[in-house]
Amino acid sequence: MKAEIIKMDDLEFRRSIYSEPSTNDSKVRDAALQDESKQKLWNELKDLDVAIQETMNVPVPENLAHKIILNQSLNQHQETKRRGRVHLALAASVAFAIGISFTTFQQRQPDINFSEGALAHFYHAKEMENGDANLSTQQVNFKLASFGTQFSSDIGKVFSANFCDVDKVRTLHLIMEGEQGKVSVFIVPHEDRLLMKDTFGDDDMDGTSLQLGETNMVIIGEKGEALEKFKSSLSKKLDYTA
Amino acid sequence: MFSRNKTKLSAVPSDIAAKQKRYEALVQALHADIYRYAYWLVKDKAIAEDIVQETFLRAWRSLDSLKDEKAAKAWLITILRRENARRFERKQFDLVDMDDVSLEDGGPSNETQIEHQELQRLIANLSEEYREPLMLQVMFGYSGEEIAEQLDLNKNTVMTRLFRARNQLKEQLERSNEGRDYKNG
Repeated sequence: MKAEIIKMDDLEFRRSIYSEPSTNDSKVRDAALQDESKQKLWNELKDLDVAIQETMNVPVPENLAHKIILNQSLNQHQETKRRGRVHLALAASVAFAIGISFTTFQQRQPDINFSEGALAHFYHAKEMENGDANLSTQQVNFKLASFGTQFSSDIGKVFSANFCDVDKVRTLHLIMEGEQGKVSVFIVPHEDRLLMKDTFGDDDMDGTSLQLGETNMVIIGEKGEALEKFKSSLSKKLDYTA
Repeated sequence: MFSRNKTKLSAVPSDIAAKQKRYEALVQALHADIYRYAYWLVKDKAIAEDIVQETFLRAWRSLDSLKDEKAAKAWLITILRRENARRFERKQFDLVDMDDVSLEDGGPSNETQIEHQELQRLIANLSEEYREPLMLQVMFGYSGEEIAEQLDLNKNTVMTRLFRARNQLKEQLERSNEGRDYKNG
């Protein structure tokens, strides 16, 4: 039997170790064993790779993973809001709170687009409706008292009445029964910095707002809901001179 | 607001929660590698961070298309490279000659890296087509075939570029060492 040893020429050896210093090629190993200068060159290349690796291993900015996840949560929430989807991941809810306070804080804009804020809050709060509390107008008035106003007569079915912050503005959020479904009514004491749009909305919801003396009211209902009728009936009952 | 949220915890759809969990695991496991790749691609800390953010955001949007977790790194690198290319399309007029680029402040800063300052400069000055395969091989331990697949090149091309990359680095290092010896002598 004749064992044929295929010897590697210099160029081939160099090509192998330069392109892959960690090679396990037996031809490379044999060539290095037979020639000290080849072994030396190979070691130099291995050392170079260690140095390259150490050099490339740059420090990663602090909290980068956390920042990436937060960025995704914020973005996810915006998309959810845009599409009018009503499900919110917990992370998005938390990010919503952070986002609102952060942007408000950062921009320090005196003007607050209250109508849009109310709509955003509406979607947010829709997630949290729990049950039919069926409050009386008196119970609503009890809460409204802190705004110095009240309803003078029965306003119909009220599922819930909670104080909420919309863009950091304290507001009373009533969820009431409309002709088609639930209607959200936001009552907020008037401030000049609150920008109210007469009508607004998106693909699914319509909104309207009005100012009665020192009180603003924003009403949001599903498309097709008789909001104007609802608004006029409600505004007649609001005792805003009180 | 927060207290009211709590009541809704249980109602978060479980598929979204699962997706979120999967995503966070991916971020934790790979953000450092992806950042380093980005850093050596653009050689600027802040830009690298921006691209990494954008990369992971896109990853989130198409996370469902990632079937095999083992392919995650290659998948993210592909997204990252595309993001980087987009950046160049947007800012073409800002292009600088790659040969003249040197690392900005805020580059590698630990002790070993300071020792390798010269090497750092040389790596930064390698052309991108040499630097990228080198990164994949040295940092991520990719084989020639894997690099070829990642960069959409044939394997011979990859091996040639790796050869030239090291050849260039080694020669330049030796040249600068000789220069130093000469000055010292």
